[in-house]
Amino acid sequence: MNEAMTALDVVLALGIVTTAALATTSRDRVVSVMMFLSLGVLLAITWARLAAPDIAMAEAAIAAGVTGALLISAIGALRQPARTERASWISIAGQVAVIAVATTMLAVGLVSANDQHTGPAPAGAGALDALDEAAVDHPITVVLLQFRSYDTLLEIVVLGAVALVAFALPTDDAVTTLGLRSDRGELFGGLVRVLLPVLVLLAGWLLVAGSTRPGGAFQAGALVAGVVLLLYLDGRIDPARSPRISNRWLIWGVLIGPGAFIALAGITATLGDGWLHIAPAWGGWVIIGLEALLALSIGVSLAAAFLAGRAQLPLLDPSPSFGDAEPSGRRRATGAER
Amino acid sequence: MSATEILEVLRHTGTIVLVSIGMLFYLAGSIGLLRFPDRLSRLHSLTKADNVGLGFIVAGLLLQVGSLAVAAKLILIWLLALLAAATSGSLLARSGPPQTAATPEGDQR
Repeated sequence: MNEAMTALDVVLALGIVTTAALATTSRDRVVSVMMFLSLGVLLAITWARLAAPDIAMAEAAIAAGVTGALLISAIGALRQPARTERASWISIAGQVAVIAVATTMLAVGLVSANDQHTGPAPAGAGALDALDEAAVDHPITVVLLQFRSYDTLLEIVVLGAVALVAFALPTDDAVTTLGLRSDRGELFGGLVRVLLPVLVLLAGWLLVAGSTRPGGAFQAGALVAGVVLLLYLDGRIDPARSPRISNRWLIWGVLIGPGAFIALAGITATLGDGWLHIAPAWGGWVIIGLEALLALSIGVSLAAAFLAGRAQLPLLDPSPSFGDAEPSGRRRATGAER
Repeated sequence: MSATEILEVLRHTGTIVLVSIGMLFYLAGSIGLLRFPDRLSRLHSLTKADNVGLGFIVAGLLLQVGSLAVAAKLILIWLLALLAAATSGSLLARSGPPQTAATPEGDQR
């Protein structure tokens, strides 16, 4: 059994290195994106092999799923040729040198760390001891949202900043039109009708399950991103017909997560024991409530990054003004499709 | 051997056989993806791998789980993958350029 596991590990490692090399050195952009997707899948399996199912779920959904969708959407609408120039040998040699130096430093660091500490790292041992006073059962959620909640707060703020910057990209006024073909016939509409309730239920389950087993805000947020994207791709939320509502909806969704986190920090700093000090007595409910808002915010931020990137790509009507020409163009094509 | 031991052996053998059949379908799907000449044929082979291959693997794994909840989740995974693969295969087939005159008559979708 151990030999089989070792063989699997070696195959995974070789696959990761190969797909990463192919993704970065391939001249065809489509091949690069496909290799990146394969890399994401292999990384998710590797995280599962390292007994880290939370990270495996987040990797599969966010890195392989949403980022893959972003990349495919980007290369799908490129008008430039899909093949890039061959990199010069200086550039390739420089890249290889950087990778070699980084790998050597990592190996030296790992070896020296192994020599110094014979047991688990001091911080890990301290966290394991403090688990008795934790608000929830699952250690990963405890570390993310109770012991190191400030780090998670910063992560959420960074994600919100990414979404807001994505909103600033379209040349015209915010995300008023998306240029997405919303009419794909009964097939896609039927799929969305079946999938949406299932996804909402799954997101809620992952959120609540994060207290006792792998799950939590990021994983539920990835599913929420899927829900938002399906709603937009199917045309059920139509920015052309109700631009202010869908705009405001997106922006509030992006802001509510970091806002709630900062509000919690302010409340605990002024009224509680200290900055983001979560007591186990009321911590369970607070963590679940905060994770719900975080999941919503993460999902909307990821979806907004994808949608805002689409807003400036004229898929149907390559006219410079998106606000006026785009809706009629979409409706014209929609009418012809029907 | 006692009855429980025989059942154990049968269970493990069933898992190995079903998962192997599933892997054969995946192998066939991958070979079809690499070797078929046009987009529709490749989609055809891929969807076989996704639906039937995954079904066999899930069936093989169902013999190994102990609780009904995990079994239900495995079946739900297979159903969702079926939905997604069928829909995306159909959408991919409809998008893109129509087939050339070299394809047989009536092969519009």
